Amino acid sequence: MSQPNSRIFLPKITKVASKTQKLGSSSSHKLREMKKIAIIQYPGSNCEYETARAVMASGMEAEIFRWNRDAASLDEYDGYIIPGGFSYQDRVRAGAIAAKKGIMRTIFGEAAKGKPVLGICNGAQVLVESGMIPGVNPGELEMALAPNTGTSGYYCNWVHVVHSTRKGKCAFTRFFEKSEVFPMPVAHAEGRFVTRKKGLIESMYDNGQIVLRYSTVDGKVEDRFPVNPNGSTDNIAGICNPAGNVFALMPHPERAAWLRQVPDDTGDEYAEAKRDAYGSWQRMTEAGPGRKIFESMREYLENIPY
Amino acid sequence: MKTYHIELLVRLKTADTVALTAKNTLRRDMGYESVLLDVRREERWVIQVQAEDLQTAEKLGREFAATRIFVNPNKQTCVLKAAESGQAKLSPQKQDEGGPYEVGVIVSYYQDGKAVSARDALRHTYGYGGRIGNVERGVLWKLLLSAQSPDSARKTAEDIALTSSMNSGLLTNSHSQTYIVL
Repeated sequence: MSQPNSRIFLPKITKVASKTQKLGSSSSHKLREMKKIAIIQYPGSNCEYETARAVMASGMEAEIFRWNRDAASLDEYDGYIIPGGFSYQDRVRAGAIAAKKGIMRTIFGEAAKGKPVLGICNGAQVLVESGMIPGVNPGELEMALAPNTGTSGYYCNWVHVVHSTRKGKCAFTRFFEKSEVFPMPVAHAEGRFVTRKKGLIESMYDNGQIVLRYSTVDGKVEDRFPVNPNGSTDNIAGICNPAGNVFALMPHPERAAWLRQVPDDTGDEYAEAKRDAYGSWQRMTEAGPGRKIFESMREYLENIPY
Repeated sequence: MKTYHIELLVRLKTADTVALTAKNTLRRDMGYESVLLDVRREERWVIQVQAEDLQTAEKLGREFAATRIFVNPNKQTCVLKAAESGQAKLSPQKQDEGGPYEVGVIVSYYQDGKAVSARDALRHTYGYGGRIGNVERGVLWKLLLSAQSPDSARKTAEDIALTSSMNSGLLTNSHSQTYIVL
């Protein structure tokens, strides 16, 4: 029996190999030119496919790289994304087990060469647990992503963040103006950036590493729930390393990569655009605010040789 | 009325995959293959309670264990100990002559919302009110270590307990957690 509508929902996976899932254009010429991003899939990751789609929509090739492949082969890629989810079921502590695996040692080495590394949500937890973020002393554990306060558990909602460092400092926010406010969703139970290292937060400000902070729709940084959804120190939502090429981000940009994903009641320009787009599928497929994170990554790769 | 500490050690009846993953990571990825023989884990609750005597405190402890806040009897078992505050040595370290040595490490969060919720549930939902003092929650890791001496085993446990970098330590992130090696 035919199912006329089923075709609409088929995923756009063009190739599936035994240990590799390549997603992208079928044009080999185009593939050669595009930057190739490895999206690390740990057991328990659950955002790798939508992250791959956001990468592809931003003009890069995406390949899902499973945890049990040879970590040394990661050096073939131009950049890396550790997506959200629950790597190793958050056993011991969110991100703690993944941080000890050979994949992270390879990524650590590649990041030192200047390659961009983005950790989203659980990926941010992995970057913190591996000492790549904040990376003032690379490899040293300088922070934690502690359990949320305020909600006493898992919290999932749209929030606003304000770009808090200078334009161009972070490889992943090159298309954001200083003080630009935009919405993104959070979904985590352990997202509170904390440190017991004296002077670390101040030095991170000095280095321009505090990239995104939770704010009101007007860009006011207020330390109250739900503006600060998890009690994070100084409302920190995203931190980059001193060089700017490694970025740990608790909100999910891949869930805000298309206008159709953005709610229409957040009181910002994206909500207004969403309301205006009702009735036009073409407009709904326009870029959402999270797309700029991935487009910034592409722009960094195209303009900063490493 | 005196203050007593009730300790509940809760363990899974089934295989503990968290302990197994910690053991495998320490042995396969972090170089402890020859010294770390086994890892076990229990959830540890310490409830401060006002009671007339030790027997009453133990009775209260059994009632707390039956609330299902701390123990799910479908999958967990519980060992209960009660002692007057300041007199008991809770979770004593087992020391066998000649090894291997079992070293306990208690890891807990500086701010633990689950412990606060449990305290509030005992006080308000179950009506124990002001008898309930502080409630603490942690994980008791039991590391079975091959070592030349108890001190050497303890040193290894310290190294495993405190995460200081990508390559060293696993059980505690000192920026959000604290630990005690027993």
